[in-house]
Amino acid sequence: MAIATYALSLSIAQGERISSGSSADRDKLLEKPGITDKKPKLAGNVPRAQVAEVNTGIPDLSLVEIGEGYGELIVKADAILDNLIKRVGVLDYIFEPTQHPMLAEAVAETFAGAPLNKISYKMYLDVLRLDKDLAIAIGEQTHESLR
Amino acid sequence: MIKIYTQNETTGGFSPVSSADFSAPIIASTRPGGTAFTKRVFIRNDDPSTYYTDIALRPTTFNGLPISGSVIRVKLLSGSKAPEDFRWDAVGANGSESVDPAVCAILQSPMGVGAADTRLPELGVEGTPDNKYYPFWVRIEVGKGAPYETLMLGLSVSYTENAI
Repeated sequence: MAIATYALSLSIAQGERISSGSSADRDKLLEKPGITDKKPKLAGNVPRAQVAEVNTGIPDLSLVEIGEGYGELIVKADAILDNLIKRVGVLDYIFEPTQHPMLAEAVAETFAGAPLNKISYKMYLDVLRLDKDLAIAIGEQTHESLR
Repeated sequence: MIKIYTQNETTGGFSPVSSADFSAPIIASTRPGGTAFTKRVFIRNDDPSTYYTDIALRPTTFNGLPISGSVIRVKLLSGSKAPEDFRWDAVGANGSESVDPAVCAILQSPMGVGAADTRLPELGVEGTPDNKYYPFWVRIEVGKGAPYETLMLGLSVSYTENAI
């Protein structure tokens, strides 16, 4: 009887790296294909006069007040996400990478070292947080443009 | 010769895993106490002039020795679909002299004895080679407190080689 041994390299690292990736990567992970093609033009990218017109005549002052009041909303949203992961943190979505190659690629690019056939609920929430952070950044940019 | 292969998830192409060195290993990574690493790999005979019986596949150190301790736990299951957690929970980890998949990680030929996901087919029969790729899964759990390092492990395949 013969024996052959094949190489298996195991890296034990401090933590799985989570990068924000590109918006296209995040859309793939969130299964929102094509959303970038339909994204409306951001208010922060157009002149202020046009913004007011786009927002159907709502006074700029109201928008500023709403913008300044979102801090508590963020705190509550984070609390909800934390509560969710405690309650359903064991949920995993297992998929076949060969049937969902784009999803596997997005997982590989966003969560280095993670299995390519699974999205855990924690990974899903991490992506939601990244998406939330991006939305906040866009909102803050828009807010500044209204001042 | 029997070989182990990885598959490019994007292109679908197969790449042989190196046997004599770490030039092309199966690459696994995880963190202590973190999510288990799971990867699908393949076993195949690339030689149409031979067939293989009495195949047994075990996780080992790269020197072919059993993996000691319980901090690093390597498990094996066969099949094209990713095994569910209850199946991983039902099989043993690492290697030993045992051939009981409930005690240690082992995939054996032929099919038809015990649970199908703990078996491998024999690769060909007399007069008929079998050069297909057969999938199996490697799962690696690393317990809390494990040092940060890169370990050189192995998958050892024992077999009887027969001429077609």
